[in-house]
Amino acid sequence: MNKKQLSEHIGNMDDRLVEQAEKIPNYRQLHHRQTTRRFITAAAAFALMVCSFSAGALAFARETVVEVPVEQETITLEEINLTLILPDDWKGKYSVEKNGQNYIVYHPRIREGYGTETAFDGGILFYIVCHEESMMPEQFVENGYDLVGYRYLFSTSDKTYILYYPSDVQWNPENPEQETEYLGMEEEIEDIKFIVDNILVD
Amino acid sequence: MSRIVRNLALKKYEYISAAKRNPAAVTSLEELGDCVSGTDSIGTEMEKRHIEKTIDKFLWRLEEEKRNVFIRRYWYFDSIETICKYTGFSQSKVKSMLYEMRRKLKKYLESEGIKV
Repeated sequence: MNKKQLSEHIGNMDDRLVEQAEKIPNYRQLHHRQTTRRFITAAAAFALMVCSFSAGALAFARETVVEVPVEQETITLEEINLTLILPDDWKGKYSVEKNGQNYIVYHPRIREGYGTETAFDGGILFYIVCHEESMMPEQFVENGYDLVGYRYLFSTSDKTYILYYPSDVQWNPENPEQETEYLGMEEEIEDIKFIVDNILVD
Repeated sequence: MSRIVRNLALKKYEYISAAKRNPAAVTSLEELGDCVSGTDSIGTEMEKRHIEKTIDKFLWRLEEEKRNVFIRRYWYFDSIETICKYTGFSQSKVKSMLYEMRRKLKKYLESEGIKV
């Protein structure tokens, strides 16, 4: 392929992409606003901590070693010593499937109604994928694996574990009830905490 | 309408580049050379459609701001300066974003079995 042919292909891209790029915001200003908002939130949280907790509690909060309360909704992937602390309202709404060295966390009822053709489609909430090489977060990006939404979990001497978000619609688009339930859970994925060998992963 | 204008501009690439009438379009086309081997390929309509769908898929998976910077540069043929003006980003940031996306696009096309 030559550059002109590639440009012609780019010229035939999805209209929606072109329309979206027609008027782009000033991202720098947007980032600045978000950073300010985050800083204010963090400052407020910090002030609250200082006022509310004793010095001992504050010291404990700095510790990275955690114990998972028994009543918490969790998934434990014993082979890799990884524990996921899930939102409480996920109880009874998810299943885990092992696929090679990878794990698929999905909503069984939504998956059932989706008419899944492959293991990686239908009701998928997220995947935990094992890459057969040890990568730091920056190397993961440099190697070009960050094509879809992801969360870097941890790496060992020869492997890297990444949480990937599905890129396609995972529910039956004709079923609004499924859509609401899926989107509700999807929003909460960010709240999941990961513990490797009792150490909390950021 | 803008699509027609773009394609006409592209058809006149040789004319544009020879006369240096639209330097931004010329340099943006030159940059795309990073993603391809440079050899002419004759593909069927179905193959062309596959390439276009793959490019769409690649773009939809990018973060919104990166995607829009890419489209402004390679669809609208905006200059780096214009993109900086719109986005508020520095020139070096825009250039490195574009470089990174061209590299990823090449990798992605290859991973989808497309001979670049």
